[in-house]
Amino acid sequence: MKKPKRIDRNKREKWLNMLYILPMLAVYVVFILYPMTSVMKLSLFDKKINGDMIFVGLQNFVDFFTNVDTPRVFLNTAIWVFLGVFLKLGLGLIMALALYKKFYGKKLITGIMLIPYAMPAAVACMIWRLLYNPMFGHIGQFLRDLGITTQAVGFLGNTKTSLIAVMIVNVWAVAPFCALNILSTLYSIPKYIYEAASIDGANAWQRFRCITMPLISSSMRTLGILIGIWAFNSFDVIYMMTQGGPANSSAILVNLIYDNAFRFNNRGYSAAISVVSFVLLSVFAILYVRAKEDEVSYE
Amino acid sequence: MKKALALILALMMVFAFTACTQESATTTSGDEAQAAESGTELPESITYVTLGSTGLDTLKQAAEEFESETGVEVIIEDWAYSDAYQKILTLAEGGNMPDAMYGFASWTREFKEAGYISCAEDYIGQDLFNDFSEAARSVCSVDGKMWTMPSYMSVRTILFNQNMLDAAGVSVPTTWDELLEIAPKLYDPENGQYAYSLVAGHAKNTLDCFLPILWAYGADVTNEDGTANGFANEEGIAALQMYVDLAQYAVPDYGEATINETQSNFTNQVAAAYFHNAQGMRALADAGEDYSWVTIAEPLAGPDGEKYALGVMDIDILFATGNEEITAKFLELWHTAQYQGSVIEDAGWVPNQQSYFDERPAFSDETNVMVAPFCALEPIAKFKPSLIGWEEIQKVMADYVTKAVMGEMSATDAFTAAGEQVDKLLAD
Repeated sequence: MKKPKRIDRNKREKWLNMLYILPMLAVYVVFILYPMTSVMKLSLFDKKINGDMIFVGLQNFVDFFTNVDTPRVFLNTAIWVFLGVFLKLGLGLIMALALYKKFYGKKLITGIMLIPYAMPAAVACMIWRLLYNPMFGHIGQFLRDLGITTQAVGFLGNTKTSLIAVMIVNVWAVAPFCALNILSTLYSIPKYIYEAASIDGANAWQRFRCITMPLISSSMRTLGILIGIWAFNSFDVIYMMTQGGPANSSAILVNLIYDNAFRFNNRGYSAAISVVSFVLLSVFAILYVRAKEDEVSYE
Repeated sequence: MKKALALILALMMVFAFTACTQESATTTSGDEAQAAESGTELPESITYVTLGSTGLDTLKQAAEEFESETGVEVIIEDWAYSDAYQKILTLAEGGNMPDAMYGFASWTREFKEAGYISCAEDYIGQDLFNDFSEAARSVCSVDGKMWTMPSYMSVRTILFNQNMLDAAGVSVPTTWDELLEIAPKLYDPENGQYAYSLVAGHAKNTLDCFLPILWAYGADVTNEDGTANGFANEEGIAALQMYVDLAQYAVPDYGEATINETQSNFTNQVAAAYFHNAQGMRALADAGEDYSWVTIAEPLAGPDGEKYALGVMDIDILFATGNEEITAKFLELWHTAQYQGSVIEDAGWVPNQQSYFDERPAFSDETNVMVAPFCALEPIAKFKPSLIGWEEIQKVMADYVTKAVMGEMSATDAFTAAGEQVDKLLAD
């Protein structure tokens, strides 16, 4: 007679638990799953100007991969993501190592270091656009004063330099965030490991190479994948600085998605590019999950 | 306790979904307006969108007068130029258009085909229809009917800094070849002086600067029946080569400049010439500065003597919201010398309604350098085409012009590639 009561209670608890996760599940279905499947469906259609939806199968994908601008946009995206991550992590590591030590004014310097990260993107882009201005920008004037160039240089308006110029702004804004993360990992390394290494005769470079880097590598790997995903999706800086121009020289995949969806009204084509981006980002996501499993410890 | 918590969470979810469905209730207001329109009831309000604060204060005055006469409130919205197209398309997709809007003539055909707009000719009075110039009406027409209303119009030509020309010992050129010949004499980058200011990076403004050259050389965006490109030919490539050559002597911000920067370069006397309307002179006049050094010249001619001014036609669009009758009445009030005429006079644009010439002396004054020289050019003004997919076609053309100017491709390769892409877009 007692057993049925326990089973009933277990069953009731299971249903109750389901009820608890129902709101989150509903949000997931409505705001993630439904839009995702809608976009995937839209990528198989072409929407005509009069509103007719014509099924075209994989034609949008074929058009995307055969477009003359696509290789350039892929290259831009790869440079933006991989080179950008490398620079952000590198600069972040240097800043973190500098801030790891105790020195006079450390708190003030840390606060100043965080300004680029805390500054709204629109403000940062406006300031950098003025700095880059070929006629009166400080960067151009500085290069002319040093004798590196004699004429005005348009960094944002040159197809060869526009992407790098915008990337500098992005690295400048994100590196402090990387520095903070790496710094917190550095603080978690037990000091006695360094003391033991010093006793064994290890110099600074050896301590860095054999202790610091292995112990922070897991954290840096995870951070790198995370900021890589953010870089892949970052639209605001490029849009505000160059709008992907001139002539798509600074455009990455998300710019193409925006232009086709909202400027050219090619919703199906834009959806196809979104699906391609989703597949690429899924690779990043899998790497991120796998990266969390790898840990180095000397304890 | 657990049951109570579960109940609260479930209720929260229900309220959240209910909030989402409120949108569908409000979107039926268009239907209610339509029902009211067909009957005797007027809507409580109509919405008019202007761009870039153009005529905003005067619009509000007109709205006040309209409300006092009809009891219908006119809600004025002000959007930025840069994302107006994206914004209106998104709203139109959701059936939430404003009742009327200031837009660009190139949208006419596309919006008509999409079914977003009602034919303005069917709603405005005959007096207003006849008041528009023939050229203005044709720009807003599709298949012989005026679907949108001509609004602000400007005619752009080449302006020179006479002081810089005199200092270089050259006279005002009459052809693009002559301008290229004198350009080296006007080019002194170490002293911040350049022969020309142009745009070769911004999609829309690149064509604003380039099209007059393309037309002067005898080419065009499309062929006569609009089925293929009209620039991947000898004439078009020669025009592009001229633009590439001119860029060598131009202010080096052309890769990132918009038309506003070309105006600044000219009014700050950095560039000896640029292609625009009276806005620059108006800006100098408003700042109390001398602009007597500005020479307004006729557009430069191509090899065969052809020359064209760039006509820029903005429009008023009547959206199919069910409030067309009453909205057309507001637009009729707005399109008077007292209201829109005053905005055009203040901005230094060209009127396209005869009543503005009759009722505002500034427009008839031959000595008014802000208006008279540009009005005189209207007969040779050509306008950007109104094509379906124009935004994409414009971007493709502008990108290849940019690539040629930046030295990435030769003029021949650039326009050959651009021509293939534009043909594909026209066929779609």
